[in-house]
Amino acid sequence: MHLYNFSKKKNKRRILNLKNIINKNIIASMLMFLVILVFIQEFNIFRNIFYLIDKNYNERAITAYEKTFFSGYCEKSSHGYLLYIKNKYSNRFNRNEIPKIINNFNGRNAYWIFYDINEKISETQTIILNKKNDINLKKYRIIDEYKNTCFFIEKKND
Amino acid sequence: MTELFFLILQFFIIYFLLSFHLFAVFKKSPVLSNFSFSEKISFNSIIFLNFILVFSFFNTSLEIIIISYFFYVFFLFFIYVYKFKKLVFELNQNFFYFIIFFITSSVIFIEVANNLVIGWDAEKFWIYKTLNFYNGNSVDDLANLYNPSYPYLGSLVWSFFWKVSFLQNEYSGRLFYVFIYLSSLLLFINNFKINIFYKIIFFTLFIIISYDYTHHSNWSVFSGFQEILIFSLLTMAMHFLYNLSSFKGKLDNFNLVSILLICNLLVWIKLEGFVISLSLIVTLVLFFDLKIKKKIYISVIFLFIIFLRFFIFDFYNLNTTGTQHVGFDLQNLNNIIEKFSASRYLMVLKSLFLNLLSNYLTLISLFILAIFLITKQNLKKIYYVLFFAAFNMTSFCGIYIITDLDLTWMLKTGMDRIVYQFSPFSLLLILEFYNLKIRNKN
Repeated sequence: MHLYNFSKKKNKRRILNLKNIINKNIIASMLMFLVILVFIQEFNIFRNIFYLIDKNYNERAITAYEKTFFSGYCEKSSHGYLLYIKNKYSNRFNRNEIPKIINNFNGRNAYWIFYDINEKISETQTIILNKKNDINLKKYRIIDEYKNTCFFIEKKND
Repeated sequence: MTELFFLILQFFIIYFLLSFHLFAVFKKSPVLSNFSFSEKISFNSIIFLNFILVFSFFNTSLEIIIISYFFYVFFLFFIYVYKFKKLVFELNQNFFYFIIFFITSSVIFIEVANNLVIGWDAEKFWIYKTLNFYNGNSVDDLANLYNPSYPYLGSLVWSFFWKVSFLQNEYSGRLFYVFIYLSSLLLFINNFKINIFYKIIFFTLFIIISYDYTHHSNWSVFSGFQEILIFSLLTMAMHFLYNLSSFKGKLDNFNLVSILLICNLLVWIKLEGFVISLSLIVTLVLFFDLKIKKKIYISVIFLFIIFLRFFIFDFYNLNTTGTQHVGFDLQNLNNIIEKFSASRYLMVLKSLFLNLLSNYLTLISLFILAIFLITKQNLKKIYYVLFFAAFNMTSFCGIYIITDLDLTWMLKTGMDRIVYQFSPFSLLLILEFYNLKIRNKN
């Protein structure tokens, strides 16, 4: 374990040593400072810290997926809408089940978003992404809808 | 703010779990006293990965693996307390490395926490394997998933640190990838005989140029891709190869064992690991001045590693079809020979060449090689590096040529990642070039 426990005297001496080292390597230390600035700029550290404090996991994930070529909020793989449904309606999911995903985009269904591969895929609750006209919603109760394209629906009891 | 705090805490959790050196159990260990900060955490990472891998062979759940590893860590913890009477190390140069390692780790941890996209392949293969372990299942349950024939070590370690975290989300597991990547680069940088300021400059520059090869997408190397693990482990292997070539007789066995342990990890991370580990072993056997007996041992141990990999997959029925990789069905020799045509060969070479030029590390190595040739330097010292690179390039080109899928698509989607995985050879070339300049100066 590298826990550092040192006396004040030693500490003062080391700070003086450090000053000497920096004075002797002034060009190298300036170069180092410059490269570290480039590194901080490259990784957008201040913006990232702000987002990390300001936004929760779901908001950040939704924003990140909106930038990708294979997904968006309610387009293509629609990770954004799935994250929104998981966040808002997970209490309404049937016990030990996750909603079935029907996506009309020719991609993959991101069941991993629900973080449980042991749960069954529900027969009664469905998330429809990129809806086309051929899906009849009359037999279903619409729990959530986004721009008439993405839906979270539940089968009505007969 | 809480998430930021837990994110930083995750660094210390990973660091704590990889702090205690196995060699503390031995009475006299030259390794323990001579090793630097980066050497310790890198070697401990290799031991850790082998530890959880071996435990997974017994079909144990993730919880059991975590408990076992904690027992191991606490055992070493008490040995440290008993043997060294303290857990405190003197403030020396290691402190600067620790600080720079902490700062760079935190910066990339925060970047990963913002760029939460799971990459294309990671979403197809690796996240489900991760969830398999995270949800309490074990190795034999992998058979129920898509492509069970793919290795799983990267997913296992992802789920390990997801579980051992105060953050509830999957990305906490991926933070280990950042940790091992940075520790491997720091390990390699230590080989340059320059002052600490220049080491920090080199370290930061190497991060910037090796961080991302996926500029066309909005994901990064830490979006769940396994290539970063291969890259990091290979960077460590390059360090051990360099030690073997430059400091003959000094800790030879330790360097050899480390390389063999890395080979064992490579074959359990991605299928490409077979080719890369084979190239490491062939380089060792052909280019290093080792006793015949040692060379035989190395070859036998490597064969055993390969055997174990296939045995475990066979034992748990993880590869019922016999196909190792999508696009490479079992074929007879005639089919393979038919695929060797001049046009396919040219396509693969063109793609390889373009990707070598678009990867910053390999681009630098090509530049250095050109300088070596123009200045008519003796290349003997770097033969083993050139052989390693050539072996990988030839093997991967050959593998691409015999694919069943559309070759153009395969090359477009895969060649950049292949080049990235074996690109750490460039680091070794840069180091050898630097040493040559220093020798000429003296």
